Amino acid sequence: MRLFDILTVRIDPEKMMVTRKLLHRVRRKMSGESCSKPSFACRRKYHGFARLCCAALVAALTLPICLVTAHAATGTQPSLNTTATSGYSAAALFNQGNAAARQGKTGPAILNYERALLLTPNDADIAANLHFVRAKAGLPDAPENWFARSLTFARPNTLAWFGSFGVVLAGMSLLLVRMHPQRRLTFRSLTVVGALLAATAIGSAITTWPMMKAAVVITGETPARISPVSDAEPAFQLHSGETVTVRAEHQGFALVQTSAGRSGWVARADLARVVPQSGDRSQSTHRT
Amino acid sequence: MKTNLSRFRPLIAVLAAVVALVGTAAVAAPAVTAQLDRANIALGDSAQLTLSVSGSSADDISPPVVPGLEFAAVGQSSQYESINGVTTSTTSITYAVTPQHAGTFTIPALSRGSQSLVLHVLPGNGGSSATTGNNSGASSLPPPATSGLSAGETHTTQDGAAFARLLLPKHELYVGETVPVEIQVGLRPGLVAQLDGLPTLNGDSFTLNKLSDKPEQTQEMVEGQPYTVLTWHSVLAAVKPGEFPLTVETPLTVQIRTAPRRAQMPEGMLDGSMLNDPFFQSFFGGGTTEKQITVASDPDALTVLALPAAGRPAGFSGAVGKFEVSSELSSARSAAGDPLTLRLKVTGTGDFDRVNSAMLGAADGWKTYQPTAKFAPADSAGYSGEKDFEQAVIPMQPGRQTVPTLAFSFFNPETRRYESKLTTPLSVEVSPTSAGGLATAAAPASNASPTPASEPPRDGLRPDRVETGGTVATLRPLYFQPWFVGTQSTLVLGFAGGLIFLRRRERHTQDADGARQREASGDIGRCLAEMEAASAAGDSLRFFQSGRAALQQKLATRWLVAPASITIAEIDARLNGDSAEIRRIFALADQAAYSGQHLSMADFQQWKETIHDQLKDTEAL
Repeated sequence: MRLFDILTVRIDPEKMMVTRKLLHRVRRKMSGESCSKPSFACRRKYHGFARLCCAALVAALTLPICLVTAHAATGTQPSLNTTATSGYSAAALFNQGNAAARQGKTGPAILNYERALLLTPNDADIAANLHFVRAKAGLPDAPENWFARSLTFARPNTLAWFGSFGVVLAGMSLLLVRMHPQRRLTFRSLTVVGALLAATAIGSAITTWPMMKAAVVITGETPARISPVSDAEPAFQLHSGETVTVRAEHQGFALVQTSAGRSGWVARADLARVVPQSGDRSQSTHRT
Repeated sequence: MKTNLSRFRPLIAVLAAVVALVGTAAVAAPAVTAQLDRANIALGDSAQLTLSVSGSSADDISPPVVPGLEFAAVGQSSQYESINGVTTSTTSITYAVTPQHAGTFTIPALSRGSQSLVLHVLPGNGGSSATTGNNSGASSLPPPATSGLSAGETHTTQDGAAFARLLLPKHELYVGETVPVEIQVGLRPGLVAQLDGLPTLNGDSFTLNKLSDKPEQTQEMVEGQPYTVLTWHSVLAAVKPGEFPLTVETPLTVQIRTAPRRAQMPEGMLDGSMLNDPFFQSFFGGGTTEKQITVASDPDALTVLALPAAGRPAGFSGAVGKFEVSSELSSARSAAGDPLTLRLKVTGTGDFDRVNSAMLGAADGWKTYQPTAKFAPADSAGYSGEKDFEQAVIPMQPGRQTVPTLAFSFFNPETRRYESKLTTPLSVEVSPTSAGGLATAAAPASNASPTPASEPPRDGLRPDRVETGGTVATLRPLYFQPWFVGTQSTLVLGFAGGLIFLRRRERHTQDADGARQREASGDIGRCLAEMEAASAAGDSLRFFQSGRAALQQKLATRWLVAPASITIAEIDARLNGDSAEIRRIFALADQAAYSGQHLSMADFQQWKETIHDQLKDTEAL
């Protein structure tokens, strides 16, 4: 009757904790018996799917690691005698901001500090120097946002990887909770943890999104014109180091909006985006 | 009184005549005026003496002879005036006056009516270009000749109006290392109208300390032309590793001569030298116009090295340079509970912004407090100096107490190694507790964990980082990069697909019983049909085997087991012996296999009914 007991594990929750060895024995005994095939086939598919999920989990975790490793290998870690290097470093941007600030170049200084803050938003030194340069130039600081500030405990890229891990964790847990309902509590807890990680990354993305459209005035007094032509009437003046939001671009001009809500067209050469666009060759997009 | 005047009247007349003659003679002689650009200079520096003569040629001008002063002509200019058809000219020659020793020199009057000039020469600092009244903000760093600074070949602008030079002590430095540099801008008198700004570095791979508004000013001959050279002393620091070209540039306003309308002038009237004279160019329609240009130095390639990771001491705070340390206690005797001041002096050259020390941390028998720091630069650029750290420490136990050694680590770019300097242990004789001593000690908060000394940033900015850290290829965060978004979307879609698959599988599983029963009914139907065919053909073996198979299928469906496992023993075990008809059918099936028993049509009909009845009865099992 042991075989019978084994075959009833599918409908008896108490006996579902069968070992893999026992299931293999079931498989051997039941091969070729038509009436029990549906049950066994179903179970085999479950295990095949579980293996597939495990493979997906491993792939999801190893792929980013491989990508990061490859990226690091092709990146520009500081090394001796490097010439044309590429890549951004928060410390180098911070130093470049200091260099520009000491030369009295408010715009490039603020641009470099903003870029450095984008990489390490929780760096007190960068924030202090940015505040100092802005105060010295009479520019207001960016408005305080408790939500954004609460998400500056880690770098955006770190949060992105945490979010990715959260997606994998939540997804796997959702699948496993259906495959192993007896561990429902464990898997649902993991689902919540994964969802929180993913939500943190999404929150960071939401708060960082405005910086994707932000630009800094890198020249001196720059007129914001009423239309995108050189001889258009100036609507107002922008100051060096002022951070604006780029709303549109048209033939060498950018429609910008200040923190006060005023809009005007500014020559693109007078601006530098905090996050350079692809193909942007602005002189202020210095890389390390 | 009147009589006396009358008596001397002839004498007065003679004297007046003599004075008149002398005065006439003086007017007829060339009038040379002299002017010094400054009255005080340092030894090693040069002043500028301008001698001007009206109505005569430059041949009539010769420099004075003053012991201890050297005069070198560095420039000449002429000025023409035409008033009511009478043309007068003034010629000026500029001399660089270089003293041979310190002291006060008097340049005598060169013509009647002119005054002598006094030049004070101050002692220099080892031959350096000391500050003067005109360059109070300049540094006392050594000049190029003595400090080892070097510059490339000097190239002037196309019109020769100006040049810029950057003098560097070396071309390979480390991130965070500071080196003294000189920036020189040469201006051609008469061609450069004004300097429109201070020199700046081209690029942001280096930082330069703030330049003075009043640079040193000297004269220099370049390619046979006199230039006024402005020199700034500063400190250069690299911010990131790599190889970078370094130049300095300065905005200038130069005067450009416009060409005269030569077509209107008679051929051969004026020779080339006259045409080139500004006066005649202006007279014939030419003139000068101002233009803003930027003069830049030749690019100088610098290699910036990252600080090595190997051998980095644990207490390394980023200081790069060459330093010495010493420590002292405010008193060699104290009482338990009385505060003492522990001082650590770090002297040397380098970036003092990165010179930091946690001083004395937790030490047995000592209560320590947060240290403070103060930097005293030895030069205006802050390249060398002394940084003093002070920390209040309190001996808690009487007896002979020792302040442990203090360590300061830095990277020495000369030796290319990290070095750690240790102070000598300091001993203090501590007497038993003085009145109120311990109470005083308990008042301030203790500093359990050592933290670096606090010092406000010198220029208001937090200091540069010496560790450039890892890099990223783009500033765009990962969650805005298409490949990352695509990967995450694929993952989400994959998991969603997996969930849908599982749900469908569960539904399918829930329907499996019904499906199985439908399948079993089909099998039973086939068995019964075969049984009908066997009865029609009189094949009892096939008849009973088909009947048994139908019963096996039915029971297997009910009991969720394989049909082959339905044996007589299995049936007895499950039905507890209440299965006589089924047992009989199974037994007849076995007997038919080897006995060859033949049944009549009536028997077939009876057994068919029995089998059908048993099939129906199994519904209730």
